[in-house]
Amino acid sequence: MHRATIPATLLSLIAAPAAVAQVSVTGIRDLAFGFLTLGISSTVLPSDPVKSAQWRITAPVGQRIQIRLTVPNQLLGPSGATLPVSINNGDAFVQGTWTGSVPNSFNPGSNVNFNFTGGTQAIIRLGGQITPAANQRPGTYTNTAVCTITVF
Amino acid sequence: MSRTLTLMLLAAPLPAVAQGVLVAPHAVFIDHRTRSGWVQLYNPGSEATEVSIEALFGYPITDSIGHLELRTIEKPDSTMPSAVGWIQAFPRRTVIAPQARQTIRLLVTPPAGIADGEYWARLAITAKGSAVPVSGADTSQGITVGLNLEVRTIIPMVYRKGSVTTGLKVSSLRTSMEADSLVIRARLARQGSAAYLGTVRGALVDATGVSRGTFESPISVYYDIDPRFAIGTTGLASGRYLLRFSVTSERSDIAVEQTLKAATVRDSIEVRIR
Repeated sequence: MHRATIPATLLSLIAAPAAVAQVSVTGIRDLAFGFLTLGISSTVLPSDPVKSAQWRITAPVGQRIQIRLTVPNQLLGPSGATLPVSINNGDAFVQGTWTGSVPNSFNPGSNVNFNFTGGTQAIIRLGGQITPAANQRPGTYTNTAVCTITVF
Repeated sequence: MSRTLTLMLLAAPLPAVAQGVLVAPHAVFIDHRTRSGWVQLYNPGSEATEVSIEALFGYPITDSIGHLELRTIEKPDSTMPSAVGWIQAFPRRTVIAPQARQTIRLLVTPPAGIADGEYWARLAITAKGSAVPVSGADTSQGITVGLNLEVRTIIPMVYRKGSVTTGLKVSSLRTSMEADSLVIRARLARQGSAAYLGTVRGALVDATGVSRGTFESPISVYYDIDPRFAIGTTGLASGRYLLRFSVTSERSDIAVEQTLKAATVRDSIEVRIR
C-alpha cells in the first residue's frame, strides 16, 4: 500500500497564533435584475441598495489595496446560446463604511486603489444591464464574476 | 397552483449568501532556516467554500498618475528574485465548512546554493461558493440567469536567506492641486537587497508651525515607484505652507520582527494654497 509522506519540516510547524492582521473579501449579495422581459433591457444601478451586487472587504486601518473586478460580457446558456451583459465604466464603486467616506466610482474593467483611512470595512457595489433577445432561447444562463483584492 | 407557486419563488428576493474567505496574515515571511510558514483561512459564510492556493510572481509598480498596481510576470527570468517555483501549499485545494477555519501550511524548497537575499512570490487564494442565481426569471419563457461569485485575495510572500538590507531614497517630491486635495508625489528608490516595507507620512504646516493636514500610508517598495498621496485642503486658508514628508521602516500591520530596519528619510517642499 502506498502512503503519502509528509515532510518533516511540516510536522514541526507551530500552531498559528490567533491575533494577526487579516484581510477578507466576501460576496454578500448577487446582482438581481428582477423579472426579465424578452427584448427589453433591464438595468441595475450600482447605487441600488437591493438589486446591486455587493462585496465586503475588511483590512487593517491604513491598509492600501488594489481592487479588480473581472466581469463577463455575456452569460452562457443552453446549446451555446448567450445572453449579453453590459457592465461599463461607472457601474461599480467602492466605499468605506466609516463616517465621511464617499463612493469612489471606477471602471470594473480596470484596477482601483483603495485606502482604509478611517476604518476596517468597505463595500464594493456593482450594477449592469442585461438584454435578453426577443427570441432568447429558454434555459439557464450563467457565468462567473471575480473580485480580486491585492495587498501590497 | 404549483405553477403559480414556482413563479412566485423565482420572483422572490434572494437571501444574502456570503461567499468568501478571511486570510490571515496578509503578508507571509519565511526564513531560510525554517523554510516553512502558514496562512490561516476562515469561512465567515453560511455555505461551504471551495478554496485553492497558487503562487505567482509579481510586485507593486505605479502607473502614470501614481496609483499602485501589481505587475505580474508569468515566467520570471533568472534575474528576478522569484520564489514561485519553490513553494508548496498543504493542502492546495480544500473545502472549508461554514464558519470553520483551515490552516494552509507552506513549505519552501529552494535550490541548493542560492545566494543570500530576499526572494518574492504572491499567494493567490481563490474562494468560490456554490452557484448563485442573480436574477429573476422570465416567467413565460423559462429563462433564468445566474452568476457564480468568486473572490480572490493576493498577498505577498517574502523568503529571506542570510543577511539582507533595505533602505530608501526619496527624490522628486512635488505637489499639485486636484479639486479639494493637495496631491503629493515622490519618487521612492529602494536601496539594499530587500524590499522596503514602511510607512509614509506627510504634514502640511502653516507659517506658525501648526499642522493643518496630514496623511499616513503603508508603503511597499520592491522596485522604484512614484506613488501619490493626498491631503484635503477644504477650509485651509490661502497662503504658503511647508509640506513635511517622511518615510519610516515600520508598519503597524506587520510584526516588528518581520520588518527590516532602515534610516528614516525626510524631505520637504514649500506649497502655496490659493
